[in-house]
Amino acid sequence: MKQSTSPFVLKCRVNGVSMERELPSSRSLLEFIREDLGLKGTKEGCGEGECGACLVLLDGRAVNSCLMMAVQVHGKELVTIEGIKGRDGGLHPLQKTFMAEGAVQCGFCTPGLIVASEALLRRRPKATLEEIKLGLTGNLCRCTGYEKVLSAVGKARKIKK
Amino acid sequence: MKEKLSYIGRSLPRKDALIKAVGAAQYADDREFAGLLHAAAVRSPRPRIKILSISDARARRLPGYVTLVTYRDIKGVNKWPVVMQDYPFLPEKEARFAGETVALVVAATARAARKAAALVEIKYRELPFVEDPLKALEKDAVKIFGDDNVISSFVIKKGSVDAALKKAAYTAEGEFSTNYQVHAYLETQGAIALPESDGGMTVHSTTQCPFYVLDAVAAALGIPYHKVKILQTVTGGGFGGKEDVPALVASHAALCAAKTGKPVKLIYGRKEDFQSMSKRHPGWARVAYAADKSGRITACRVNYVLDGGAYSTLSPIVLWRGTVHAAGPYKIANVDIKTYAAATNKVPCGAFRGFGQPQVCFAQESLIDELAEKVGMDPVQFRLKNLLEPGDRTVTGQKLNSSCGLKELVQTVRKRSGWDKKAKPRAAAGDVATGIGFSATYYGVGLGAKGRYLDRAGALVNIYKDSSVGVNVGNTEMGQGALTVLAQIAAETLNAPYESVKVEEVDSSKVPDSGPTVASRTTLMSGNAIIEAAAPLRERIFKTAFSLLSAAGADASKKMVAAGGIFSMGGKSVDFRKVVAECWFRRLKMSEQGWYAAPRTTFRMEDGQGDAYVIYSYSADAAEVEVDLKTGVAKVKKIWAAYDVGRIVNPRLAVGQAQGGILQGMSWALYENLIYKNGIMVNPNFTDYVIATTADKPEYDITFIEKPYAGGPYKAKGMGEVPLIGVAPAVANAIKNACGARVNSVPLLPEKIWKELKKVAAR
Amino acid sequence: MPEIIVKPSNLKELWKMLPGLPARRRYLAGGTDLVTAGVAGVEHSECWIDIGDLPELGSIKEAAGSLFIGSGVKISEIESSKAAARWCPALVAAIPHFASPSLRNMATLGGNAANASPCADGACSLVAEGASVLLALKGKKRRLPLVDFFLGPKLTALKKDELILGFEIRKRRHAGAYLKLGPRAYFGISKAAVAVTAELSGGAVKRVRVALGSVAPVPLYAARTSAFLADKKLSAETIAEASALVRTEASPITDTRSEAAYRLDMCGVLLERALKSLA
Repeated sequence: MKQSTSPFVLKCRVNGVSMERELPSSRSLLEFIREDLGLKGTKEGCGEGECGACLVLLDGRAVNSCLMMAVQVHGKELVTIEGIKGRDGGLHPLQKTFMAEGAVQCGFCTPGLIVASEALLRRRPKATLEEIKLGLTGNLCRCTGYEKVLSAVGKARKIKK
Repeated sequence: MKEKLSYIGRSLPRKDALIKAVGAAQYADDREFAGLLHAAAVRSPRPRIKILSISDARARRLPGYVTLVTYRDIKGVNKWPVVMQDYPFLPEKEARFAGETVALVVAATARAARKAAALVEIKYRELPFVEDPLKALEKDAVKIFGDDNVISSFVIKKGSVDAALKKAAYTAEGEFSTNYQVHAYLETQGAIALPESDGGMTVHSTTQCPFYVLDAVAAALGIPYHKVKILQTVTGGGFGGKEDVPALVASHAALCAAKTGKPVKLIYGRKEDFQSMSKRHPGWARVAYAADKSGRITACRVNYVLDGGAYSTLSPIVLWRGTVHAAGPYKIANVDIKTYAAATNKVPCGAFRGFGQPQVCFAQESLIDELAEKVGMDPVQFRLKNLLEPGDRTVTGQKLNSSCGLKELVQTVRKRSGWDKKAKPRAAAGDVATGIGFSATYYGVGLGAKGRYLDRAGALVNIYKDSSVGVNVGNTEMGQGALTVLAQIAAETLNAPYESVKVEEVDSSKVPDSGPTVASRTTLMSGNAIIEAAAPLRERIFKTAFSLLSAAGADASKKMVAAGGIFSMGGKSVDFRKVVAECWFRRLKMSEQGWYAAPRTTFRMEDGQGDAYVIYSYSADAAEVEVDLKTGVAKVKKIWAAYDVGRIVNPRLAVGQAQGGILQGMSWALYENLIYKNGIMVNPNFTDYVIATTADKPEYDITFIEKPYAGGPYKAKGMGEVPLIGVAPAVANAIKNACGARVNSVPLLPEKIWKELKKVAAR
Repeated sequence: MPEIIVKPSNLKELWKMLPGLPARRRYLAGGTDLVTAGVAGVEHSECWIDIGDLPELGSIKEAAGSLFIGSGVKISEIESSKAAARWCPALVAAIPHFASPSLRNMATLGGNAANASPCADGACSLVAEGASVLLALKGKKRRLPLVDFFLGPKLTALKKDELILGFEIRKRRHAGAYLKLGPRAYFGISKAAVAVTAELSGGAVKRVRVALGSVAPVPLYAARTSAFLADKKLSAETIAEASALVRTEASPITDTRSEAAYRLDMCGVLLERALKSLA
């Protein structure tokens, strides 16, 4: 792609659907997700990559959407919390275990944590609890003390999607 | 004997977990409205300025720019109605801290608004400012608040401390300090204001206290309350940080909406949230204890100063709570407590989980360990000897009732942590020394004597024709689980199926002013209000159920049993849905309001004697800590905690509150370090103001010892703040136990421990 | 944020595109530093050139005598590279300490160096690895020892429009360690960090490279300590001497993150531990 002036045409897949949008090139990925696509599950907690509330999957890996420009996802596959689902289209195992374990309190960090956990378990379905702990250091949660979050991710390992 | 209950005491699923787990919950910034404009704040760049002019000449050239809003646009009174009313909605002549909102801009997009705010030019002259709260109290300090910079001051006086200190066999004295704590709720502050056609205003606000928002918006706009409606949005964490200041943010949004006639959204960025929203007060305390030969504490003297910041906001009541609890949960005959909140040209501080207690608790519980050491007693034994029991009097002379399990808590934590084996100093393994530390605390539930006029709450319970139950309350869900716990209370009282009860986020037009959602008062206050509302409904439903069962041929000589949404008697049963349908058929009133006001308290401000709070919750903590003797890095391995918060309504939620509160306390104790330099906050971000992550989390061991409180809903007290308060001193005491380093200031940074270790080595 | 972001599909296209772009322009790689600066309002370019997907920068290549890590390689890709684990153990040891897992999926080694922060974990460990940096400007390529690339905080030897192609690490059998003290266990900016590589033979070390993070204006190569350790047995005395010596090489400051005296002492403590972990 070659674009010398704003706007540009962004082509990517979002939650399994191909799309093409004309955007000003100064659009951040988070703005694109929240404002252009209206997918409000992805949150801005700090705007500088320090809290993880804005995590999305980019080609299967978790990234902080507040620190990316929309142009950077051109040609790639994006999954937001709205696209995290179980095989049957219902709740994803992580969503089930987060609810069952009490890992959800104020909930503002929850989408980011579920995205981070999904990325982690995709790469390492049998991650140890220590690996899970280190894998979630980029997601701040101020409510739970993390214990129930870790046990939710631990339990989700054993559930088939 | 415990009553047989269907829902109370059970870990029922959270009502709001699903929408949060799938990302569908609508927080303030997630709500959209047609024609929405966006506001951004223009902030003072310096600690104290005289404002000469504000110009938007450059901002006007920006595409999408709409308007500038200053104090001149305030149609109401330019005084934010919170406690002392010294904080203007927008400053007229003087701005008193760096980051204070001096004006707002409105634009078509959020990004344009932020850009425009940066282009607004404030012409100003710098004024001399005060940074240090202790210096603020000196005679020759620059005066920025009244004629002495004292926002507020309290005393507690009992017996003669001087005489007791003179006679004492042992004394311990020390000076302690604690730094700010930033709430770091993941959702920043924000509000959306929508002008109504009748000149009214509807405000969507992320807040703990919709009625504070109501007071403020009505005052700023100069319109009657019935034209203002506050709708609480799903709230992404509060911890006290969304007690008072959301009212300011919402008023700013409302002023913008009133001026433009359009809906206006104002969402804070993280940096401005750091710079301008409330914080835990930095605290300074000099504490002295005396004990007799047997190890009985005979006296306590406390001088306690909080750094209030530029405006008084909640400082008076935060300070008062700190004052009442300043001597710790001990039997002490002679007490002399003097406390001050000092004004400085920094961010105004307010409520934060613990509300003025954690700062002084850190001082006082650290010093209790020092005193125990002087007496030559084990710190737990020393506490057991002196702790309050039912029937004892607190330092304010209040006699404690039977709902006081403090000693049991201490014994429980002692046993579970293996204290007796671990407390003796252990040999270091290489560079790592391990230690254990203890603390015990009490916490007055609710607003207490200082806030008694706000200590009431309402509830509205509606049972619809389909038997679903709608409950409106005036206290908020902010993540702690109020919607769930209150639904359990409503379901229990009505014998309605739990699934059929929905408690809603607060709508200020549906229930009367219920005070703030603070002070661990929601379960108690709103819970009691729900019971009050539900009681007549319950009577109608139970009577109707009885008559239905009787008509169906049930043996009426048997007692009717109501459990889990089913009524049964003599072999017959009928469910809630059928009973409600019958009630409607009989045209019974299926909607009621409830009201609960806290009992009176007798505390006198003159000498600090009398009942300060209606009831207390209690905690005991033990922390096991590893200290790296070369780097000074302390790592908390495990925290054992036990709580008496009355009857537990939902154990899973209660454990969640405990773990979250412990980690918040630990994070404050070890890491969180907000820094001001020359009146400017230098690290307003999560890069340099760090909070604990998953990798820092300790192991938790939590026990509840339920001492029922007769005045509480199903005998519950209050829980939210209790778990945080005792963590920092337990950690500090563990560090001392591990390596001999006594650090007197929070955060207990490696640099400080490292310095103390050098002193220990030099001894 | 700039109004213009361009995205060339390869290097050739980039060089062709340059003359037509606004004068105030910068390269955008992972974005973790640049977008933060943009959000903070301290980055004022008119144009960003997105080089994140340039194929020439995106791979790890093993040649006969050296390992090449493209400047656009994401940090998390290095983490899972067997070649990297083998030939640059100090760099790989630094990765768990590098920001957060998700930021490691975005950040690149090139960006970490170009940002020229004295606390950059990647840059510091690369200095210990003795890496060279390969630079390109239109047709012209040049190679610099990485230590000569860093001129000061946020200052590098990069000329206008010059691009980091990647890093070259000479293949040699060696051990490596990276130890860091941050404000919490993980995900924090270091107060002090030590990276060490050592070619071991028998009970002795042949060549050692010690690099220090956050204790000087640049990721610092501790030349005297490294020289002192060459061809020595890693005895307790040697380690103690080295850790005393390294304290004289650093020049830390007191700032909001830590204190100079503490940082200085930590250089010694961390080096001691790093060397012990290799011995």
